[in-house]
Amino acid sequence: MRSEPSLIEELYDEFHKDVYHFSLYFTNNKEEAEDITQETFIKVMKNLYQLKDMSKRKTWILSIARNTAVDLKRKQKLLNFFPQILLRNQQHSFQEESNDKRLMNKENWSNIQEVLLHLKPHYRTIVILRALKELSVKETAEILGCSEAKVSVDFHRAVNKLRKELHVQEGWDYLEESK
Amino acid sequence: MKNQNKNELNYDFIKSLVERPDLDPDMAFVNKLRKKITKVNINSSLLSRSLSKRLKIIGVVLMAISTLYVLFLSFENENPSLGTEKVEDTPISTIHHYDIDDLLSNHPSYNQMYKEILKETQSTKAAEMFVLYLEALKQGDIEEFKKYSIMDQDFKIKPLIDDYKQVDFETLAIENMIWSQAEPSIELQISYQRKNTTAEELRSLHVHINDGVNMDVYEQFDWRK
Repeated sequence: MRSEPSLIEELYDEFHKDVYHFSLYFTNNKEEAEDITQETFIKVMKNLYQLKDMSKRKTWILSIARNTAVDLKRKQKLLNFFPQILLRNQQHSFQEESNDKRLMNKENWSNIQEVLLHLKPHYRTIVILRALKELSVKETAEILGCSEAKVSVDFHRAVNKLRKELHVQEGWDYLEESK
Repeated sequence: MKNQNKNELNYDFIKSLVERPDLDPDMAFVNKLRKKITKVNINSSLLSRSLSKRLKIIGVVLMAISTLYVLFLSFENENPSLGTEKVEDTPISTIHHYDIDDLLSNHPSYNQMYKEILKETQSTKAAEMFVLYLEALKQGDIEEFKKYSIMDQDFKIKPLIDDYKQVDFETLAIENMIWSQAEPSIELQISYQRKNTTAEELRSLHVHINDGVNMDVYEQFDWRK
């Protein structure tokens, strides 16, 4: 048993980067990632009494982060009256940036991030947790509240979808061959 | 070999995302959110503590009233023996008195620490409360201790009090005071000797000055020892 003030601070110190990374990969937007991180830890603080098993603290916090991120995106969808215009602008600037980078052949992370954003939230979450945050199938299943088998199957599908999208994009073959 | 690899789930290409340049959060954001969490949490902890204190006070008052009522009845019935027994049961003997002036004039170590904290924090109340915090530890008075400490669980406080029982309070001295970046918190490094020893020991206490006047002390102590 530890007193709550130090526990919440310890949890924050231990996991704020994981939460921020997840949020940034999920949104590709610094401000939104900060909002999600802040809201996640406020929720953690309010619901700390629900954390019975300390060994599951990481998956518990990441599941809150995931729900917060999904909620934020859902709200944005409802509030966004001009989705096409905004999306076009966003895509335009992003495309410009990633094309430049691809042409310069310096880095391709922004290209993959762009494709990741187009995956549906469930697949996106699985890719982030499994491939980028290197969580186990079991941990990922805990966060998503589904079976381990479903995580494995959906992770395969998500990776294949990503690969397919990337192959469609100009320049990807060249990048893969040049590895 | 190439075909075989193609059938396996290879997701190394995704890993380039780990190298994105802006992956980590800004330190300013991290520190700001940490301060916010600490502040909100301390406030809610203090609120719940003050509520539980109020309930305890109400409980004590109700007990006192019922005791007086029993006493009154015993006198009414001209049964003085019952009254005497009840007087002995009242917890008056466990009440401690803390006179800050007496403490400062009778204990040079308290006096010196009082002056140093006052000089550093410009808060008479905070300096007084720190001395009272130490005196509560010295007297083993858990309820008094809770007034000044963030720690509020008896099973953690008792081991700390036991540890302080071995401390020679007259050797207590402040070695260093470090303001944290998250003001208004200050870390006090104090030195002391244990009874019947001359070896000097050090410990750190974190003092949070809540509203520029009142304070709470947090002392890291492994109560499992």
